[in-house]
Amino acid sequence: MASPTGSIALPQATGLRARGQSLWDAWSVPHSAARNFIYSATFWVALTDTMGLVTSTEFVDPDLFGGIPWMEFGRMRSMHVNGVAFLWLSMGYAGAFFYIISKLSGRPLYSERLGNITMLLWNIWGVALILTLGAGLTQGREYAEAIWPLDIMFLVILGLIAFNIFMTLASRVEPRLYVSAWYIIGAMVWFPNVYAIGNVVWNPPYGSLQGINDATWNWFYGHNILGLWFTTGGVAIAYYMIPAITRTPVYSHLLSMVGFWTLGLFYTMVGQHHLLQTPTPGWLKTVATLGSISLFVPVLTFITNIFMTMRGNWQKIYESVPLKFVVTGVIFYLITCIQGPFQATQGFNRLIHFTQWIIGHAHLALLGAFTFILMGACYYIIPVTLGRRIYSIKLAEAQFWLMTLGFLGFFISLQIAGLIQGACWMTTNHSVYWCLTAIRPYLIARSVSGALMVSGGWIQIYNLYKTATAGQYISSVSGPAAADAGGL
Amino acid sequence: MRMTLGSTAVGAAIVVFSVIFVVVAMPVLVFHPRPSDIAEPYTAAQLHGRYVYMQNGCFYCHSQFIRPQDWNQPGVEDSNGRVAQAGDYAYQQTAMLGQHRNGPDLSEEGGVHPDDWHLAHFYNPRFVNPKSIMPEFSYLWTTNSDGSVTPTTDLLDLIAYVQNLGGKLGDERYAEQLSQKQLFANAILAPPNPQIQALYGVKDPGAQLGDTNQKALISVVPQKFWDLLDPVPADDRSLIDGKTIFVTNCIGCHGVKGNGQGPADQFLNPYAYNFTDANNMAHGLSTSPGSLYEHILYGIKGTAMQPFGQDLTVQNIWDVVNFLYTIPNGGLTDPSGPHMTQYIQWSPSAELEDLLKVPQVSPASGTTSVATPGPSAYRENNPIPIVVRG
Ligand code: HEM
Ligand code: HEM
Repeated sequence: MASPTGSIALPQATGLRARGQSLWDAWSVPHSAARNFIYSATFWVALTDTMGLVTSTEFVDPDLFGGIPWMEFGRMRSMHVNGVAFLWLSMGYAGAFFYIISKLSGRPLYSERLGNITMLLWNIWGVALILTLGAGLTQGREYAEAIWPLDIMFLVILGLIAFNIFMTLASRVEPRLYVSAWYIIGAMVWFPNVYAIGNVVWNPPYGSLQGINDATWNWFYGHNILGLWFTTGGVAIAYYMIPAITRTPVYSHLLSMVGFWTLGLFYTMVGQHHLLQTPTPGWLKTVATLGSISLFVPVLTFITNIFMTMRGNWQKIYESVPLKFVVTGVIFYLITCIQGPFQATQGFNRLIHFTQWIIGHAHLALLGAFTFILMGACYYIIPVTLGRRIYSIKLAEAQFWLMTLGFLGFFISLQIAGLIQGACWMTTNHSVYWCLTAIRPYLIARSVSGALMVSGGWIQIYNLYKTATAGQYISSVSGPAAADAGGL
Repeated sequence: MRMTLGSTAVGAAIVVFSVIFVVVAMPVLVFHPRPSDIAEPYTAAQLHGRYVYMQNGCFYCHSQFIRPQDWNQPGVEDSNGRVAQAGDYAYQQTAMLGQHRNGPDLSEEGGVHPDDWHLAHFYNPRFVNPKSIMPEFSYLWTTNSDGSVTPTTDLLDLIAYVQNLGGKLGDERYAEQLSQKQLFANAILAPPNPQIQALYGVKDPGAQLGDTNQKALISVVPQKFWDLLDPVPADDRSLIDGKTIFVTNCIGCHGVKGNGQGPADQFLNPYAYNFTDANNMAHGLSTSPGSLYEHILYGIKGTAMQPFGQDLTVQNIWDVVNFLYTIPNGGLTDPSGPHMTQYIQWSPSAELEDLLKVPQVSPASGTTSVATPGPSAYRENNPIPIVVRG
């Protein structure tokens, strides 16, 4: 892997713009696009997590924000979900990809300016997305709510990012592609295609099909932004961060290879496991269930590879906050993917489909696994590229524990709630309302622990801002300093 | 294998596109379900209502497909447990099947409630169901200068859409709601029956029972329920439990005083029942214990009174019935109540005894304009005749 080079020593890398520097110049600074993406993502996670918190309170006191159109549950929920998925995770991924790709190629990003312009476009897109969803402009398909003009704009943005990444890779000095690069290439090939197909972009303004096949397409898409984008990208980041911080080469090339190709093969098959009980074709459900169980292959190869790399390095999680975040994320990923195949079997799905269990699983994946991995990446990339230390390790630790404990409370209460709901529907004649009163205490617990996580997001804004403007400079740029910057 | 930029990108595309061919292209190539027996195209208003449903994210909480185990979802009993079929969605652009059930499934919701229930419910769901967690959609109303509210076309179209859920079956249930409502309108509003007006909450109680329309109202409750005797003795426990259930389920419409003037009152037609008239609670037509029991168990079709049979046990319902007889004497408003001293023993009035000797007719002769809905294929096996189900 390329060693940490040049960029750290650059004097103008203050993080925000240097005094007297024009924006145009600031946007050509190495790694500035990666950083700006991460700053934006950090802003969005705090904002859209807060929206999640608001949404969750509406289960407990539905009249709290009653009568305000954009705060109504259905609208706030779509703002939250689209926000965390496309503004926090996806923008953060783009930033991390830029950094990782330039490191792995041993070259600066093909065009920092283009990267920064894309960042600006993406933020504009994000504001438009949140505003349109708040105003009730939607295509009414989960994860594909964005209206047609925004779909097109998003595809252009993704195209620009893919272009930048591929051009950087084409100019690389390192002949061998590291495993993270495969995953990033995979993600950048897959995601725009999945997005275009899943959103049926050739059929404006609906962006959907007629009849029940639309559900199949919706969930092909809904699942593959998870499998071929969030998972692929998160795995790429984990494969980079863990070896980089622990300074240990990845355990097995073969395992990485098996993991990569089976991920592409099996994830694509499983969309229908979201529709196991709908009147859609049975063979699609069979394919999905088999694919879901086969997903143990890419998951276990990845987990084995990571844990074997961690062998002898476990004590380092006490020294490095980013490592702690990433490793915790990987463990949550393992739990997600143990849950997943069970959920994809007909019998268990009958119990938990429609319940809060699924919400727990969704957060385990996107919050527990990939938000943690990405937060680790943020706390690594910002300090390392600026040559500054994290402003306050204590705050970063506090954020870690708020997130972890908050998440566990959130997750466990939703799993219990889901089982109660499932059992209530299956075994009693009660209406949905009656079963809701039974899970109310768990929904309150969810909001309370959700509040802990939200505060974690706001801490990250403060801490990264202070790191960029007031973090201590690292004097030496050699070897371990890079890992140091992320850690001590 | 050598992983280069080219081989990785092309390989990744080949793998994923081959699977995409199977799971995405194949379904649209080979699976074209025909419209099912209940599917029908939308009217313009319903179509717009469907968009309002989408805009407000209703599908994040309400699914639209019935599974075999979903026999307790609204309307499913009426359709004899019909399970969703692929052809049900034939006319839908964007299938909003829904992945979450924070509210009931709505695929058979059409005609389960009358329009006035929906008006109250959309304005604020707590008005008709204090336990509901559904958001209020009061922003789909415009407020007039005098403080009253008028529903927007968005809302009316939304209701048109909701009343069509279940396709032709929904239409059928909805037609039945309308005809039952007509029956009540005739029975209550046609002179000379101010007393019935009073019973149904028209605020100025007047003189005499009008008898043809009485029969119509009696016909709503089957005789076997009507003269059912209360198996749960009225005692302190029963009254207190009954009050708890009343307060957590009924006050949205029947009001905190039990006078039928809950917050939903402004939307309802006919009004919610008034329980505060001592004479009526002691000798009234609709206040025999069996009649009250039936209304709570099955609801009253054509009115906003919804069935509570799913959520309340037999004993719960009798407890509420017992409790209702204390309301005229302050059982509800008195914080220390209800007490046995407040309890009224029901017995039919002399006129009522007379009236009951007349064989029941349904619907009443005074309501000839009422169209009785024809028996549908789905209800033919239903042992209880439609009019009687109430
Ligand atoms: C970065 C962190 C987060 C991510 C990635 C995330 C992701 C998601 C996703 C993907 C969904 C849709 C779930 C589904 O459709 O099955 C969702 C829904 C939701 N989230 Fe989050 N979320 C995050 C943080 C939070 C927080 C902090 C809260 C606060 C309590 C929260 C509350 C909710 C609620 C209430 C819903 C709606 C659940 C329902 O419809 O029943 N989320 N979130
Ligand atoms: C072995 C891997 C996995 C399998 C087999 C699996 C299986 C499932 C199944 C069967 C459901 C739908 C359950 C239902 O609605 O009845 C589901 C929902 C979900 N999964 Fe997974 N899962 C896996 C991993 C993941 C990962 C890695 C992610 C995130 C990247 C993820 C994110 C989600 C989300 C967000 C939902 C909720 C979708 C919604 O209803 O809105 N899952 N998963």
